[in-house]
Amino acid sequence: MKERPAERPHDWQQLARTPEFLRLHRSRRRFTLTGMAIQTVALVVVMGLYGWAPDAMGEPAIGSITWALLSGAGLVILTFGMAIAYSRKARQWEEMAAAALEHAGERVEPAGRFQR
Amino acid sequence: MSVFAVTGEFNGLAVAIFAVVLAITLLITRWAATRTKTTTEFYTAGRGISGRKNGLAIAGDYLSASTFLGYAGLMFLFGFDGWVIGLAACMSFIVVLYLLAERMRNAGKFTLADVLSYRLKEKPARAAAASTSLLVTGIYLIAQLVGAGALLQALAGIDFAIAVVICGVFMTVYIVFGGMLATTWIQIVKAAMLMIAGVVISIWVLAKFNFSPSQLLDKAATESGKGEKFLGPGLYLTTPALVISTGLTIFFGTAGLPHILMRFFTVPDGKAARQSVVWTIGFIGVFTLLVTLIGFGARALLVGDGATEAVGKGGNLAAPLLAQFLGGGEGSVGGDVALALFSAAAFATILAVVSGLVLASASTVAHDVYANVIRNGDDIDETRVARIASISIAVFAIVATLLVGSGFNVTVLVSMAFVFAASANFPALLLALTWRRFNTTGALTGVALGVIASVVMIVLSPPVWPGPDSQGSPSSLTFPGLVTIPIGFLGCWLGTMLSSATEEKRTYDELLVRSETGLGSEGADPRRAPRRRRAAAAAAATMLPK
Repeated sequence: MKERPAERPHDWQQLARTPEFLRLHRSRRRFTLTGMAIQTVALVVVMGLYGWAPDAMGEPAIGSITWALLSGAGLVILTFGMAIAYSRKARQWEEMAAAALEHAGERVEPAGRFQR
Repeated sequence: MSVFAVTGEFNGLAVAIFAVVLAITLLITRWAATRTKTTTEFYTAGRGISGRKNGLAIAGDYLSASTFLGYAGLMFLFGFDGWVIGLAACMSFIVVLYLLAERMRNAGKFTLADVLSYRLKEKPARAAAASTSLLVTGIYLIAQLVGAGALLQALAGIDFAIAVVICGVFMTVYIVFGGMLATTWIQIVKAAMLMIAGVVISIWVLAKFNFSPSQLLDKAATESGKGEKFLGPGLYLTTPALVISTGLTIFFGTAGLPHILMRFFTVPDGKAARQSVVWTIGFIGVFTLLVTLIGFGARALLVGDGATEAVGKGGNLAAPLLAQFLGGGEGSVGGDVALALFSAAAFATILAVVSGLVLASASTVAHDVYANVIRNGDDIDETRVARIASISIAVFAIVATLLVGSGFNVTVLVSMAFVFAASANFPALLLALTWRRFNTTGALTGVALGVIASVVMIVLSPPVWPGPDSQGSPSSLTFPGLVTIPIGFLGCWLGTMLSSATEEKRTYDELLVRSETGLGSEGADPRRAPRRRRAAAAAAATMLPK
């Protein structure tokens, strides 16, 4: 395989302090924490209902489809929704990351990759 | 007389289709071997797998035989409760997507230990991550091989020992010659087979009930003998703590499975890593919904003398026997062909999953233990070492599987793998990526406490204490993540706070910027990049100022 060019040193500390990077980092952290909280709480609440209220969850909701089955399908749909939401938000982060690197004088590679 | 096939009889048609599956996998391996020369190609397929293909391969990695046969089997036996583990598994990929996928790809090179040791003291951090990685993949590998042997014995009448040796030999061939590229494509083929089988059977089941889910559920509830309780929780996971703990262990455990995380190094960049998980969630989500139709369908349609006996103690044969029933039943051409085709999908599943596990173990041994801990990062032929490690690990796994035998409770092994992954790997990995103050002592303490807590809780759990599958264990938690995951995090926190170690290899800023922007991440081999991405890169390059 062809040798890659030698790594150019980066000033990581300076990069981490640029306003663009700080904005990216805060945005990622806020979105990730919120998303993880929603998903974890949904899991614990629904599993808790299965554990503490099995009879109520076993009652039919639509035809013979029980509340347990319906809430389970709801968790799958929530997972789809969370994945799509992350995917959309991540496109913004790509632009923010490119802006942060440009601000710090880093060359932005094509196809969204940044070479050393 | 039973209306169901007596399992364990030699099935010539199934064996013939197995031979076709083996031939296809060998062709894939031969093709992959010509493209697997360098270390990066061996471990990561040259980082040239597209997001969609990698997503399908991750889904394939996750949908092991115990998953796709196990969930349907548990639903056949216990109704709704059999679905709970599948639900948690589907949701667990959000943890991987939100917290790890892009960060792993941007910060790592070949293994989980690369990421954990990125800014910590390399040798101890890498050794700790390598130990738990080997523990998880080793246990999971033996669990899969025990299940594989038992399943092939039941479906095709191949002796347990011969079935284990066949799987072991072929998985070694795939990895030694085809590396990650062969493993990935075998996963893709297998996942596609599985999805097609799942969709066909689900539609077929619904057609039997005039496409009315309510009719299907009513019949399943009636045939179960448990009435409406069969459609609600409480028959298998009997206490709130047990349900929540099982859910949390699977939810966080997936994010600590080395063979899943290693897949993010096979794509060109962080964006493709993210797209991989989105595709994985799509595939696994659809499968999770379909499995309800297969599980309840088996309960509704497999009626008569010997149905419960025929599906086996763990219900693993419910789905294959359902396929046979839908095809026309035992003795009919359609039934035998359907059973044989379904068995082939199961066989492909086993081969693909064990290959991924052996590759993850071999990477850990060659890259982490040998190259970076024993040889201090000297320039060595890592691919050769990894190939030797693959053969050694395969021999060890085959011998260990034959020693534990077909009667061993696979649930204990699977539970151990997930508990270790969730309690030892996940906390240290997450905090290494996200907590500025986290240090080597914190990582070592967290990993050690996570492992110790997992061992103690598993020993105290029903499948182990005071004897196999006996009553009266001090803990009711088969998947004890509710207790062990917090202990893993506590260990990381305590170790960090009590230590004044500042001997970091790199700064947290470097890891943070690299993991969130991709600056400085390992690039893909341009020859192996997906075609569309190569074209886009070429077009963009022409527009760049010279």
